[in-house]
This record gives sequence, C-alpha cells and structure tokens, in this order.
Amino acid sequence: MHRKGDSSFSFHLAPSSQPLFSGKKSTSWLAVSKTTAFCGNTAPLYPWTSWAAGKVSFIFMYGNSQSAACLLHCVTPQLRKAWLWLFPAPAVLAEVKCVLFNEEYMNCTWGSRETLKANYSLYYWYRNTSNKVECKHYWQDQDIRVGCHFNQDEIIQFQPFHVLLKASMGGSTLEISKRMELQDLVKPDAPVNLTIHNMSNNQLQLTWATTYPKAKCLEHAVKYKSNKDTDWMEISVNGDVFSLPSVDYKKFYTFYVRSKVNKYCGRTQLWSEWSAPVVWGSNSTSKGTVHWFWIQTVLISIASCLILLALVILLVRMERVWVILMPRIPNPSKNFDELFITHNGNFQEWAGVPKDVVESFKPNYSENICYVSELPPKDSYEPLWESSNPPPSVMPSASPAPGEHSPYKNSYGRV
Amino acid sequence: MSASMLSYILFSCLLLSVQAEHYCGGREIIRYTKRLLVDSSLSCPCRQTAGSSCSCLPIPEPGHELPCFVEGTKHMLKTNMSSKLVLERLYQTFQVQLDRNLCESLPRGDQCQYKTKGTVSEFLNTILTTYQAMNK
Repeated sequence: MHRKGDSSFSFHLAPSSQPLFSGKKSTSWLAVSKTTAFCGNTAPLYPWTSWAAGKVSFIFMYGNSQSAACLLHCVTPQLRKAWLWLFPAPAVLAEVKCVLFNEEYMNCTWGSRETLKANYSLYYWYRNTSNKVECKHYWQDQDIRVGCHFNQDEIIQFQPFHVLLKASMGGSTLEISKRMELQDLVKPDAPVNLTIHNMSNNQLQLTWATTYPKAKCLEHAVKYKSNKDTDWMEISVNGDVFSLPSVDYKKFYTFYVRSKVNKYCGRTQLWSEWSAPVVWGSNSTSKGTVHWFWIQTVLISIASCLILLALVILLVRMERVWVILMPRIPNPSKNFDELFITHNGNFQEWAGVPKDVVESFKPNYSENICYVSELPPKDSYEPLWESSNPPPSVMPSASPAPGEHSPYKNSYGRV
Repeated sequence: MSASMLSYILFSCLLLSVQAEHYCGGREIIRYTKRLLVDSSLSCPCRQTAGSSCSCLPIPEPGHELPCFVEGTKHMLKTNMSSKLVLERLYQTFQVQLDRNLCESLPRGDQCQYKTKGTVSEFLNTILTTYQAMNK
C-alpha cells in the first residue's frame, strides 16, 4: 500500500525478494528486501537503514502480538519528506474498544505502550453532530495515551456514537474511525447482598440486589455446587430470586451470581463479574467424615468375620450344638436288628408271643374234602355231555393236594 | 347497579384507556424482531439499488420511525420473505399503533422519512434499537 507524503514526490519500494510477514512481538519484522530496508522490534527501537538509492529512512513499527506494520519515512537530502506504509496500517492498529460500566462511566482503549508508540488523540460525536469533541480524560501508560475515560454526562445511549482516533508521529497522522451503539456495550456491576433463606421442604431460596439503575433490564446467572460435587451448575434466572428445590443438610453449598443486560434493553454480550460468594450448609471437615466412614466399615467387617469364625469353631468342636443345628435323619432299622439277627426273622418269637398261643393256631385235625355232584336225570334229556366226554366221577377222591382245601371248587350237587 | 359500582367501572375504564395510550408492546415486538433476525438472510447488500433481488427497506429518520416500520414490514410481506406469520403480526402491531396513536413514547410522524435504505438486517436492528430504547 503506497501513500503520498507531504511533498510532491512519492517513492515506492522495490519488489520484495522475500515475502512480507508478521510474527510474534519479540520477533516481528518484515523484510522488503535484504538490501532495501528492514523493520523490527529489536533494540534500538528506531533502527536506521539505508536505501540502495542512498535515501535515508527511519522506520517505526506499529502493531501488537498478532501483526505488525511499518512506516517508512523518507527524507531526501533536499529535506523533502515522504512516508510509506508497508502494511495497510488502519487494519493493523489496535481497534478502539469501549465498555460502559454500569452506565456510570465508559472507558475506551486502543492499545498499550508495548505495542504502540505515537501521539494519540481521540475525538467523538453523536449521530449527525458536526462538532467533534476531544476526549477530556486520557488514560496514560507512562508517556503514551492508551485510552479515554468518559463521564456519565458524556454518554448517550441509543444514538450512533462515533470515535476518531488520530495517531500522529513525525509530522504524519493516521486516522481510525469507528461507529458504535453504546447500549450494546454495557457491563453491569456484579450483584451484591446475596442472601440465603431456608424454606420448607428442604428448599433454599437465594436473593440478591443490584446497583444497576434499571433492574428490570437485567438477566442473571447463578452458579453453585456442594462440597461433594466436582462441577459447577449454572442456571439462568430472569428475576432476582433463585430456588434450589432440595438440599442435603450434610453438604456445604457455595453460590455465585452475575448479571447481563437482557434482550429487551440491549444487545450486549458482556456479563458482569461474579459476585462475592455466599455459603450454606454443614461445614464439618470432609476428611473427618470420610475417616469415620472407613472406620465404621472396617470395624463392622472384622466383627462379622470374628462372629462367623466363632460359630464355625463351635459347630466343629461341640457335637451337641451340631446335632441341635443339624439333626440326624432317624433310622428305624436299629429297632429291628434283634428281629433279624437274634430271632432270624421270626416275628412271633421276637414279638414275644407265647408258644402255646402259637401252637393253638396250628390245626390238629385234618378233614377230607367231600366232593358232591348232581346225578343226571334218567330219561328227560340227553346227557349234558357227549359220549366222548366221560361223566365226572361221583366217588370221593383221595385226599386233596395241599392247598386245595376249599369245598366249593367247581362241583355239581343235588339241588 | 349501585353508584359505587358504577364509579368503579368508570374509573377502571379511564385507567385502561390511559394505559392503552402508553401501550407500546415493546417486549412482544422485540421478541418477534429477534426471531426474524435469526431467520432472515443477513447478507443482503442493497443500498439504494433498484430492482435488486433482495429488499431495500427504509432506515427512518428520528421521529418518523413508526410510518417507516409500517412501510418496511408491508414491503417484506409483499416479497414473500420467510416467517410470514411473525411479519404479519409485526405489521399489524405497527399499523394499530400508528392508526390509534398508541404508544406516546414513540414519535409519530405522518410519513416515512429516511435518508438511506438498508438491508433487512439493518431495518430489523433499527426496530430493535427503537423499542429497546423505549423499554429502558
């Protein structure tokens, strides 16, 4: 980017043999060409160099940690001056930033002494006001103006606010202008007087106050956690009351609140700082609680093991206890050992039945079985059996075979 | 109807009519405008260009906001932009405020006067700023 200086002539740089670049603050420099010029942040702060054509320049470096710009100021032997920006300077210079603190005052800043070294002047005006007013209260960082302070009566919201920053050095002046809406740059003060109220049903209620003049224009955020939690919980709140539905009385809670202008009064994204904390709950040392918990656990475990061991020993050593706890299944065979071993299965003998009673059951007589059969009629009918089948015998038979004592066995008799 | 009841009713009507003059619906308008800002295309660079594919809307001069808001939202409705329901609601609100002289806080010029025409985003932000100022 080339610009004309105060004189009627202009100069330009030879095409760079190396690419122009910007780097970190401590190493910021650019090389136009190795033989032409250089611009850096090395001591001394204003390095001198010689042009190949013999023109002398002194070079100033502007910028911050992100980028750098160089101003080449050329003075001919005839004392004709010209200057040249190697970077588009307005894009390099630190941007003017303004913050309206609690609608009480405003600070606009544009850099720091480390990054800039020039004579700055700030002018401002509202909407179509033609007269520009210069800043009345500059912030200074040693000998460099780095910001401007505005009182409340110098601030008008909802009107376009214009600033013009002039950076002058060595007779040349650079101008940067910017348009802002101050209602979008409001940063409220942190809430104050945080108070916790104990409600019924294990509920906590947190209230606070604000020094911001228009409380209805604020939205809030509450951040809290207990001593047992690892992460913070952040909740948005529209009013100025926050309720925590259920709390543990054994825990220790910490609360913070911050505020921001809501969408009904502006478009700011600036939150206030977090308020001073307020705490609630049991502040017993968590370490002591943990120790007592572990002691209880260990004691109970050891006691249980000892009791179990005692029971096992009792069971093994004292059979009476074992028998009580584990009764044997009764075995009735012992009661019948005498029957099978001594009396050889003779139940009457084992039962002690007298011998004469046993004998009395034995029969002392014998009876022959008399078989009775019916004689067939002489002429009425044919014999019931064929001639091939011999009639049954009417003679009494011999003594029956053993086991056949029944007289009713299949015989015919006279009716 | 007793005299006390009648006086109570008359007083309530008077109170309501006084309140109606101050009804600006700022919060409702801000909500709708923010919704449109999210929906609308923000990259419409039209500055006093005729026949552009995107709308060019009036950025009102101080004191002539309401007529320009009516005109602007009406134009947006004609061009079939997105969120037609919200636009219709906004247009009706502005029209009613203009016709019935509601919202004393808002200056009511007769006609829309503007120096420049801006994009949809610029127009909506003007609405937003105007009603945020009234809310504050």
